Amino acid sequence: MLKELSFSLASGEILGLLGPNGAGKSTLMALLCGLLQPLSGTVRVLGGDPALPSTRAHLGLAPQELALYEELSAQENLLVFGRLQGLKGADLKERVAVLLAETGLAARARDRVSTYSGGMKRRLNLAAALLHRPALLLLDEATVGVDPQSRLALFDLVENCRASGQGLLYATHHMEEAQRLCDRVAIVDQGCLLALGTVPELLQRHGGALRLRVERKGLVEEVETRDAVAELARQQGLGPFESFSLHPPDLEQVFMHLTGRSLRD
Amino acid sequence: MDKLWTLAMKDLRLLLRDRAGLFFTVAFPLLYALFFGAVFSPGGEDEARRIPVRLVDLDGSPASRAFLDSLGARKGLECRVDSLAGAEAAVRRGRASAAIILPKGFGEATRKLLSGEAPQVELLADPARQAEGALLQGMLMELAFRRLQETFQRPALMLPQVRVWRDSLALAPGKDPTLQPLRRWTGELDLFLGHLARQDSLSAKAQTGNRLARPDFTPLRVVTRALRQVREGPQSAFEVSFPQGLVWGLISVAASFGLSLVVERKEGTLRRLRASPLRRRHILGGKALACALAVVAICLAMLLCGRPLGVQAERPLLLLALIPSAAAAFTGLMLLVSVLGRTERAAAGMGWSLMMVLAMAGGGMVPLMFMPDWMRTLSHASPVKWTILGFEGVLWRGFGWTELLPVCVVLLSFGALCALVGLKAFRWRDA
Repeated sequence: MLKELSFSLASGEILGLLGPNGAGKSTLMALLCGLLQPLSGTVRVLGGDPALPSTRAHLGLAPQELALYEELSAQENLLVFGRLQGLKGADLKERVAVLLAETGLAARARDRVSTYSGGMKRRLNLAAALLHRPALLLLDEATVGVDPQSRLALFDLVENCRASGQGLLYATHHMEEAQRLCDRVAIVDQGCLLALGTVPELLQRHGGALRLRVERKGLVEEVETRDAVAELARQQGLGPFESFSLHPPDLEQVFMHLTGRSLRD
Repeated sequence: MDKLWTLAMKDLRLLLRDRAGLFFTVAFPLLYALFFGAVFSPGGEDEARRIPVRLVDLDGSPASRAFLDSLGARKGLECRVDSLAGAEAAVRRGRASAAIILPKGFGEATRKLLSGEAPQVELLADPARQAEGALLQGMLMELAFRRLQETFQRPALMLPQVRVWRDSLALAPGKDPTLQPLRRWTGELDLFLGHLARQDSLSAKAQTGNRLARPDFTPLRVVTRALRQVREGPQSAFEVSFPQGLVWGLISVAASFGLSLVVERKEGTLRRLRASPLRRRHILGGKALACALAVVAICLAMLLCGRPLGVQAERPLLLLALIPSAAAAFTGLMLLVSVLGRTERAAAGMGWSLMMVLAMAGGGMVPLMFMPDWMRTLSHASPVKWTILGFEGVLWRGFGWTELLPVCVVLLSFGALCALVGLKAFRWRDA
């Protein structure tokens, strides 16, 4: 159940959507692209109702599942999805060719998708969402199960979209991805928006103290502190130690701070 | 319409790429029709039931040769002339069901038929194939009676028989009071038959003859007259097997497309389609269009393949109503199958179970004529029954519009009902 969830997304901006399992990320995605209707209230996307095809024409969805026809080739998949998005003729062919090249699939464009690796399928999954140059792109776990090379290629595609002025809502479990790609991050849990801001803003507001890690007689101890020098002096007073390291707060710390440590199903 | 067409073409392409699906949709119905058509064809029956028989002629007379020739001409027998030892060995080894042996004196005995001396034929049958032995015994008796009938009908054949009989009566000793009139009667019969034989001979030479000048030996005069051929029943077994095979193709199409909707829901493509600027009616309409086109294609392909085998519509225009009606029925069924289970496995299990019940109840497996009354009543609820009836009607039952339209109405209603249930129960939320 989503409650009082409201945020804006500018064109050319990537908004990361973070939340534990069951937080409401997928429900939010489904509402935004008209797959679900709100029980109460309204959903407005790009100024329109996503239940209407005219609004959805400006949305692109790359779902978490590999939503592709495995027995068709990459080219055939893109042609089918392109036609359904209203592209035709030379424009469609050109767009398909460009995306096949950008995703590194041109050489195997005529092979059946069932013969592709996981990374190739992920890239094609994203390409199918980009065909009609949507104003808003909804990416749900876009990099699940891919190797580092494919992940980097996907990052490049996402960054190209931002550069071309498209808005992106990027749902992920990977904090480092959000930290690297997203201009702002929204953290949701139990249907509520817990925090929204740039990564430095979130770190400042919810990141807590520095973490001092001290290794003494083979044992590692971690303590949080606002004054690293004073804490280090205190640790020396407790006895000699082999090494220490100082860690600034990160997004994971913010996430855990906001959502807690209890397991979610 | 563009989007509908794109979706339909995508589904047809997917069907063509799925080899197993294609086999059960196109090849299996055709093989079914060809196999059962061939098995139940009259030609196929004869071939299948020919009894291997060895013939042994120990007499070597013209009569024995003629008898064996008559046997060899029988359709149900696979005859081969052999020596006595060879024939015995063939029966013992199971290569032949029986041996028919004409002993010495067979030809002489046939001349003394009227004297009470029946020619003897020996039947050496494999004890393990007693049924075939009994059948052969019946065939031999039938053949003997036929030859006897021929003898009585032809004076030239009858005459030697009567003369042998007359001579044996002349030599017979004793004072039996019946002997004298019998001798007189055979003498007159000899004269009478001699006269007929001469007349037949003259008639044959002149190619004319006054047939009315002598009494006719034919026991029954059969007068034939031309009758307009009224077609009753199928002309060949293929006309029965093709509608049944075709129905299996339609069942397979409905199941394939129904399950493909479940697969699309599971794999996320339905989610992607729903997120695109398509309405729900486009998504299901595209699938329905593909299913209906596949049904039409299968019907046409089956009729085309059946054409060389004599499977032809008596009134092809009726197909314009029947094929779309069948397409509607099986498209509706497809939509129903798509909501029978949440997972592919559940939907496949329940879908095929439903199809099997409909096929069994509708006469797709066992013809309805062999079913009990209650089963025949139940068959009214199956589109399989109505589809088969419709195609049989067009192919060989001689249906006109009056008979076909009720069938089409039932098929359309069935399709509408199934589609209604399917659309109502379709799980859009799961997509």
